[in-house]
Amino acid sequence: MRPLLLKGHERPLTQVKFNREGDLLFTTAKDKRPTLWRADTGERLVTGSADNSAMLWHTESGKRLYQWTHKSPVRAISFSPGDSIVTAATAKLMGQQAEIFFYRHTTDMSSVDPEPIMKLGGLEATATRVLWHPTSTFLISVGEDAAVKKWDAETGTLLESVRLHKKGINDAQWSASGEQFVTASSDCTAKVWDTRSLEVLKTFSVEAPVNSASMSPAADHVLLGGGQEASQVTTTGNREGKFEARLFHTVYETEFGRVRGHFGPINTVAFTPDGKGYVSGGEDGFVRLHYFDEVYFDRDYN
Amino acid sequence: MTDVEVLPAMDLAPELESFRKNARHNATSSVLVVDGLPVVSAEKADKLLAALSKIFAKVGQLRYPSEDVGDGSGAADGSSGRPPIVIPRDEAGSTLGFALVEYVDAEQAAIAAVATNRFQFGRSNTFDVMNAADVLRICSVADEFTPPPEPPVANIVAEKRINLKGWLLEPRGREQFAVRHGLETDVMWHDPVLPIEKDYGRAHWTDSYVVWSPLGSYLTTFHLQGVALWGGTKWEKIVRFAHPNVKLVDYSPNEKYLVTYNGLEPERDDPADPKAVIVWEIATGMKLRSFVGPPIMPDEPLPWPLFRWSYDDGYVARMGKDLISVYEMPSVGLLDKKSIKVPGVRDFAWSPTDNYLVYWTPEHDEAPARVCLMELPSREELRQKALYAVADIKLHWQQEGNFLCCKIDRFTKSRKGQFTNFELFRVRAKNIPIEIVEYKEKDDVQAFAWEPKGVRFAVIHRDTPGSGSVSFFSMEAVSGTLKPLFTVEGKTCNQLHWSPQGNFIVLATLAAQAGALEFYNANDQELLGTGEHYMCTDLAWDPTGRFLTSSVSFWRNKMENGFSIWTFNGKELTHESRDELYQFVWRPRPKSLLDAAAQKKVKKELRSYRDRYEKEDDELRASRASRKAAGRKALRDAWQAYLDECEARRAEEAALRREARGGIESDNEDDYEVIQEDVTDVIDIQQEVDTSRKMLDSEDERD
Repeated sequence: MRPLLLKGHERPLTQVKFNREGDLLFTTAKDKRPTLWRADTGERLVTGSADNSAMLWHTESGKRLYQWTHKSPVRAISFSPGDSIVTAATAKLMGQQAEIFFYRHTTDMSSVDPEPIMKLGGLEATATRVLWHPTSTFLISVGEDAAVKKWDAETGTLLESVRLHKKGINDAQWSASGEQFVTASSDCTAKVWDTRSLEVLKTFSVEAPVNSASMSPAADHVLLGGGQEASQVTTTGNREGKFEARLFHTVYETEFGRVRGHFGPINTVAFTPDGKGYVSGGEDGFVRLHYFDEVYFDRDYN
Repeated sequence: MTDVEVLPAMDLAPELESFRKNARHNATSSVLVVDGLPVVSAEKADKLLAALSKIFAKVGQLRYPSEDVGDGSGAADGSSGRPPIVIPRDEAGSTLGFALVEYVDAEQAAIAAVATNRFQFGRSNTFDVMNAADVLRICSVADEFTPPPEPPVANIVAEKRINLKGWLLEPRGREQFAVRHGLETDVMWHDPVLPIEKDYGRAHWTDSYVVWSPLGSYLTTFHLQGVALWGGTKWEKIVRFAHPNVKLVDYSPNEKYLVTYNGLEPERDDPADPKAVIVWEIATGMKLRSFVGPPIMPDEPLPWPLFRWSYDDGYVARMGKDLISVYEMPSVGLLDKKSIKVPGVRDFAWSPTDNYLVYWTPEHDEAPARVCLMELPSREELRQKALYAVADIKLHWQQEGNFLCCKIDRFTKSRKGQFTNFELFRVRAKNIPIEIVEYKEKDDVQAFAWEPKGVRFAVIHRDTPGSGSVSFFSMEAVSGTLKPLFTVEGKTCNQLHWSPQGNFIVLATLAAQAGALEFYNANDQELLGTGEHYMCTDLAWDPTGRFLTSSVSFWRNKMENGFSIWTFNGKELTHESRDELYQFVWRPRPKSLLDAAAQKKVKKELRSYRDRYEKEDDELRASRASRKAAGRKALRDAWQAYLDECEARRAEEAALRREARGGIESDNEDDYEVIQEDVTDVIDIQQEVDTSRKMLDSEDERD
């Protein structure tokens, strides 16, 4: 499969995400310019600029609607299912505690609350991802303290906290149904969890820290992206595009495929909503959009 | 004294006498039987009795009737009425020639027996005193001889001995290898079908590295106090050698002896009791002899092994300044009490199959450099070669000792450049002829290797940087002519690794960022396969020549440490990562127990063996696959059951989800309307004037 190479960012990628229909791709990077692409052609639609605040954009026009400022960098953002609440997770930095802020806004953007309606405190470390459950009753947050936490969405109380990873968790993504989610950790593993019980169902091990993981909506596959931090590599691998995205079979926990191409560690991965491909963003500033060959669909994985 | 009839005293044979002597020590009765008495008539009997009483009363306490001896030794049958001395008589009243004497207890009787035995009684009688218990015992010996029962066989010997070759009995004939990584040392089994399996291993088994003995019997570990040898199927410690700070070891080829070295400088050692180098005998654990070490040169690596063994452990030799010292084993005594004087000797090597030594000396003054082949113990020089303009010589013996190759680096006439020659000695041919392969100055010879169990050798040479050639030659036979076979061009390889069984060779390009392997069949000049192991640093064939291991060692690369095992034709069987991998060493095998005829027979019947083993392997694979398949099916079914549960729960929450999205039904992914929009983008407008068309004129029809 020949990937589409999207070069729109000069700095390392932090997150990639598809819209629901899968025809739009959102990418964010350390260059402060969230970018919107057309997923089938790789055409860029909208660019913007930001600094460590939470910004609300209108996708169609690309206009910035609102900006919430915080005292420390915002690491993770998510919308509630009804799009009426935005959560922003701030980092434990600059003397600040890690917190998750809830802001309300109306869907037509006619009013936006500048003040948070709720704050989740008591996080020992920065939350790196916040996931709203489709029922809007609870949130899952994962963080640098290697813990997975479940919060009540109405009251903001911590319902459960489970620490089964050994190092910080870098990413968490829902499965298509929301009944499972996958976490990616610097302890070189990714784990699939059951949403209700917070039980670990499957674990996938690799040799380098995992920065991001995504579950295929169309098959029992999990995609892992990661790699050794550039600063920790004593001999730089001059091999072109050595860094790999790795495909695992969810049930057997075995790897069945690797895709090379990135020149630096992969920071973020996401399957397309139809499961026919995936996108990865790397430390090298590149976004690679792949659509799987027929072999991927026809093969008998048993 | 009594008037005794002359009766010859019993002439006892010495054996019987000693028996009686021993019997007396085991006596348990208080009654003595005194034999050898004169036979006298009834009248004289009383006098005899009186005489005996006097003698026997003197040597012990006789048991008199109605005497309460107080120690409970009274006879059970109430024989207190009996006199202590009784002389039995026949019907006529004559004595029978012996008497019974009773003492108060057995101890007294024993003392008395010793005191009175062999007592000369008159001119012709000697007492023969025995304990009554012995007499009764002897009399009760059965007339028929019944052999005594077999004693139980002692099992201790067989149980305690450790079978050092037990690992060879492994049913699938798997190879073993040792891996030293991090703090761990593991001994693993390798099998082409099964995954690698750990036999034994633990952290801190050795403080530094491990060494296998040449026939694979022992694994040597290093410790502060010395080395330890381990073996047997349970990996027990066989023997220890105390040598503080030991750094290096070397085994004799047949595992009889071990040399250890701890790096002590000669200046700090004591010549009377050196501590640097010790020669040990492995079977007994005894120290045979110790030596002062070599001088330590700061920039030069220590040439190890220091002591080099002859092929059958009979001799060990060491090079010194201007001499080679050859020692006989097991005495470790200098052969003929003097070293071989070789002024300026630079290097030497034993033949792997005979007591031949080859050494070379560089040019000196007007004398040329010399290579000399010498036989021991005669010290007869079998062959010599004089050479001029020599920079260096490397000695390579062929594995069967049939040929010797001297790689000679020589200076050009101007002394500015160097070129390489190979001088090949046919050691077993008459007069040991020498054949030469010459390379020019522009040819950079990088490697040379004899084919094991064969008559060929390969050379890597490069006349232009970046593109080298590998040339193959054959010596044909023990007596024959050197023949160049073929050359493979355009190769980047820098190392040659023949299979230990010959015929196959791996051409390897190992460099900082490369690791390319080419598996070659030297018979057909055929490339069997290629492989790549990024950053590979070491290559090792297993002893059978079936597998090749490529490994990335921590010594040279801090990342990607691990090893890959390949088949002889380039198929990668397994790859394992091991952090901080220091060593990967295959376990050597002892020489085959089959003689040449038996080996030939096996080779002839190879097909039937091969079919059988392939069938076994296939069955093993199939059973593993089916087990694996069953396992995977179970996992799949469990997962599906879980997903179904989730789906059921999710269905219950549909209402919640709808509410969360403000009443919009969003569960169905396909439930959207496709609106087709045609967007016309005006890219460019072009106006063109058609000059070929005429202007309308009045003559055209216009209606």
